[in-house]
Amino acid sequence: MKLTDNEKKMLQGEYGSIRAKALDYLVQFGVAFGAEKLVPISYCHYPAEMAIYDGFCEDVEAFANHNVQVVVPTTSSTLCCDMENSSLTNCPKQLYETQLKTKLAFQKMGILETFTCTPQQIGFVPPMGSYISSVESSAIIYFNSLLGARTNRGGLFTRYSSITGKYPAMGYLLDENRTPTCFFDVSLEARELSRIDQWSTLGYIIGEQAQDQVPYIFLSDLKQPTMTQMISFGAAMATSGSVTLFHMEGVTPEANNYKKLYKTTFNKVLLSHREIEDVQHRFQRIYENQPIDFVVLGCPHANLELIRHVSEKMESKRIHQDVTFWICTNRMTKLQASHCGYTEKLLKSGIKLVADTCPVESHMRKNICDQYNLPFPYFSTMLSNSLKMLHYSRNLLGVKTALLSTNQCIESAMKGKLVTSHSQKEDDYEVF
Amino acid sequence: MKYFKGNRILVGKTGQSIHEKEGLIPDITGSCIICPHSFSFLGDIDSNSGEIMKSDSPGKTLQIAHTIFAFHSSKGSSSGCVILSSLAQRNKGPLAIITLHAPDYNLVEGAILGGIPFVSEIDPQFFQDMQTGMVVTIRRNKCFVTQN
Repeated sequence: MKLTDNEKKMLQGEYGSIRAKALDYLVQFGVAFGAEKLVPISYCHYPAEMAIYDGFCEDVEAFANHNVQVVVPTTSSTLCCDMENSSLTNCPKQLYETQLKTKLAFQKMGILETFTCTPQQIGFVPPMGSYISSVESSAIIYFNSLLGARTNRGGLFTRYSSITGKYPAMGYLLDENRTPTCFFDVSLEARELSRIDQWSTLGYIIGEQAQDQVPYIFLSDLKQPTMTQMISFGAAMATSGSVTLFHMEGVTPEANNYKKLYKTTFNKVLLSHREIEDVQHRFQRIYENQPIDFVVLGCPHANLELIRHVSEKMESKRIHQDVTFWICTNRMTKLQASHCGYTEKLLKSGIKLVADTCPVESHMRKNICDQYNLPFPYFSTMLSNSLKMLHYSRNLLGVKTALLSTNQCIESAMKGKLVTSHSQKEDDYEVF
Repeated sequence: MKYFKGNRILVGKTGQSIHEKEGLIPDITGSCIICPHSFSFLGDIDSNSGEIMKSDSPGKTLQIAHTIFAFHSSKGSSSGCVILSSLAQRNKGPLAIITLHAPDYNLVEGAILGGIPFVSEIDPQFFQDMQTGMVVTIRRNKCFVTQN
């Protein structure tokens, strides 16, 4: 691999032994994949370093004690509880205290305390064509596809990129790997693809079929999607598959480059109602009028508009006493929600606005329940508008699941049982 | 003896070369687990014990610790890297990983940090001929796998 003079100096320890070791990892990683050089990155989304995994908080603490700081703007991913109010989710005190080590280490290292899976919603929007290094599969697919920034599916090596500002020129950073390799022709009417749960379902189907390929998607009746819909869509695709980049005609910035390729390709996967219904049935383990105890919105983390929508729907109403209802978001959006009065309205209705975490990353996992003598499953059922949330919760939290629209989730939470009778006509035009 | 060629082998830990070089790894022999589809290290496995818990998996109740774990490709959350390296730290990781598809960068990072050799783009015939429980060997300095 060809290194610049400055990179050679870093490798020889001129910027400290920790940076030298970090760069060595990146160089060898690049050599293994045939990268010819390292490229400068402009942004990092740093691994979560969660207390639910043994030793990770202690590792990041030790890393920070070397007094090494990040050299590019670096945001951080979700943790295992709301770091300003850990009792909000009933997180065990000891688990919170372990997690606190990460927060303090991040402060030392100059890592921003965003604790979110959707940094793009709070202003971290890397420019098109820029090289970045990111964890969090839903953010990665969004950065690559919707923004045209370039990152691979990052993991723990993102630590090394954040303190060196480098990543090997390989994978999705290179033009030749951004060409679509599978093609989808989606025959759904715009009204069948407006709500979050509908976009999530379509993403899940495409992810299952595309796996690690680059899908090109054509929708015959496309209504311009919202950012929330695209986040849900990508998140689901990166759950059932490992899709890192997709192109959608009329939506994503690089799709135009491949329009001709799509037109001349015969091998297209046709998707319609049938596939959508099939996936929804696979996740349906709770049926009409059966009691429910847990409702979750905000996977990936909710934006202010979704929070506003729910708080408006809950005006002067309350959820059922047997139901716990979380909306998961990031701290900045929670502050905005409080400023707008939504948090208070939600609290009055019995809904918790939870920052920094989500159920899948919380104490509700089996090993943590065992460790802290908590019941498992912590909740027996889960309703959500996100297939990503339901997919992981089935096994990790041991819950029975059902995918509903946002409004059906709200309605069910109020009644304490699954209800799908919410006006379908109204839902047809809902974007949530 | 059957043998199956892979396209690439990655191996290493804490600063050693992670690209195959002369004599880096000894032969690795172990019982294999064959998962004939994609696999997510978040959700499909107990991150504490290494037990496969994907409900619709033919590998249900199998334990990946100290086995050669073969699957088509990795999928899902980028926490996969964290879970794999965490399993390795607690001596619950696989002896090696074999995949049909090109390696997922995320998982490779976890394998490197966990010191788990990773053979990718194995001959598709491997998944036709091999079954869970068979003993295979990853040969030193060669990117191929033999059935013992």
